[in-house]
Amino acid sequence: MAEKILMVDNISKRFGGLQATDKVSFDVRAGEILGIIGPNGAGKSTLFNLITGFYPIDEGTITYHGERIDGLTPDQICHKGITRTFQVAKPFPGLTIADNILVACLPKADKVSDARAKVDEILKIVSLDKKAGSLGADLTTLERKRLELGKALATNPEILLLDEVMTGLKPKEMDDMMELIKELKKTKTIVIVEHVMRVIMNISDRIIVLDHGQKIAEGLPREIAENPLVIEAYLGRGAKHA
Amino acid sequence: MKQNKSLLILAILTVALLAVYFLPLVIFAKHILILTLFYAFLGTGWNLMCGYAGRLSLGHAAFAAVGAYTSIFLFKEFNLTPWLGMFVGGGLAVLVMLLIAYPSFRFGLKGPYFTLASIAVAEIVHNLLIYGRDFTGGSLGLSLPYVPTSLAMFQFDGKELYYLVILAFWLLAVFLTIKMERTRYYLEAIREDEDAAAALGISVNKNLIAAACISAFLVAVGGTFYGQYFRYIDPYSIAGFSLSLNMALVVVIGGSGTIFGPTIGAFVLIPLTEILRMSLGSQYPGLHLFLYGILLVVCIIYLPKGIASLPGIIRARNDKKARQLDQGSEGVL
Repeated sequence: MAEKILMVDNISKRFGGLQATDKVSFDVRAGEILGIIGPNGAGKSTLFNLITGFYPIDEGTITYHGERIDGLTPDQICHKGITRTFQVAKPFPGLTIADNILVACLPKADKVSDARAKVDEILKIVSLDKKAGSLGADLTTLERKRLELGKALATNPEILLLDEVMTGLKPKEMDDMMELIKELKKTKTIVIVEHVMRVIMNISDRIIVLDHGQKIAEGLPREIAENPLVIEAYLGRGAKHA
Repeated sequence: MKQNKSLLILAILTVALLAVYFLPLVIFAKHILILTLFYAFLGTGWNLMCGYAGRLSLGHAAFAAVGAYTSIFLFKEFNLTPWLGMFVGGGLAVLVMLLIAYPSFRFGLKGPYFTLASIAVAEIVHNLLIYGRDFTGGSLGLSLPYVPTSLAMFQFDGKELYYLVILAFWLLAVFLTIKMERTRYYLEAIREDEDAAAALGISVNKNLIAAACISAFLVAVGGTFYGQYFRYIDPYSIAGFSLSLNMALVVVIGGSGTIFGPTIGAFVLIPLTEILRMSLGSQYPGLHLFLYGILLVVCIIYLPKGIASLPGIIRARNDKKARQLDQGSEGVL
């Protein structure tokens, strides 16, 4: 089995009266695609926000290559090698696409010219090379998703956390995006939160399922699809008797 | 803009402005040039934090006041040359800025709330200057003890040397802005979306605070220049709202978040205000402000990103025209 590079151990997060994350534990192994699914409000995006330091965790630990990373700020975690995308893509609207990517390359580049040299390559990977001069504000949904991915790639992460990159895409666009993600798997470890079952079942090596902030299942895609707890979470009690 | 291109423009502008020094100008023209460069310098400092990072401050006069009062006070009481007093004033301004910037950025004070806070800070400084009569001369202000032209004491009898000094200040400030290429990109990213910037490994608070401190330091140095040039400061002129507002206007009209925007804005607005005031002020009191207001409205409607955005707009329009022509000819064929 591949090395466990990220270990999430018993983490919890409460917002007022809502237990958004409840004693969740899992590992991420080098080179895999780990899918995270769950109904709306299950705490999937919160989990990303906790891992990347956007919210402080209430309890538990997060360990990356044997080092505690809970308590670090988002920029420090990015420097360690974990980069996330946002569910609602966040381009820098006033900057050109090329500058959007350049900004993402800069924090890990010694010189501005080094970062500039990398921009074209990233633009090609996410097929935005023809849009290099357009503003971030002038993109279609697909292009925004691609830019979001391009910016994350520009930070050259070891682990890429993808938050619903398929939302709003047409079936054909989804196929293209899936190909891209499979291509990225050759060099990166990927954790992906996704609603679209066809996608998650197709590309994930393993899947964990969240419901009401708790992890209710973990396993191979085939096992997850047949798990009665998962079916209940998605379709409601009684569905399994139907 | 690429760094080398910006440096080239800066070099050409500097040579041109140096050449102006040798022209036989009337004293009023020299005064206008000095004021223009003074505002170009302040604007360049203001722009670092307020233009690039988008934290709009309408209280930067507070830092000019700290700079001016500190250097004049040290000169009067301890005979310390303003060349050094300027750095003490700059350092104090940085401390005042940290007092505001750290809590504001730490707790995410942005947009109108940050602007209101900046106005409040300037008001506090303004009032402290009025009430600290023993040190500041209260609302009567401080005048600079006269010494005959002395480079060591930063006092000159004619206008010419002041012109060279403010030209050098401006040159250094613009040069610094050009050289801060990486920080400028970070600040722009932070201005556009803080969370997205942090997710890419950019330390939001560190960059904002650095920009704020440099900005405060430069404006404080500008304050010292103001004191040495006019030889008199009072809370109204150096810590008043109008100085803060002028700094902001020069940048917004010229192009905020651009290297030369503040300079362009100063060269358009300052001569215009001074000339309008001189030619109309006595015959039709208030008319110059009216015309000035109209110009601002026109600029804001047609050039919301400032005069510096003009080349980009023209280029985009030409591209569009060229594309339409292409499509037109394809249609015919």
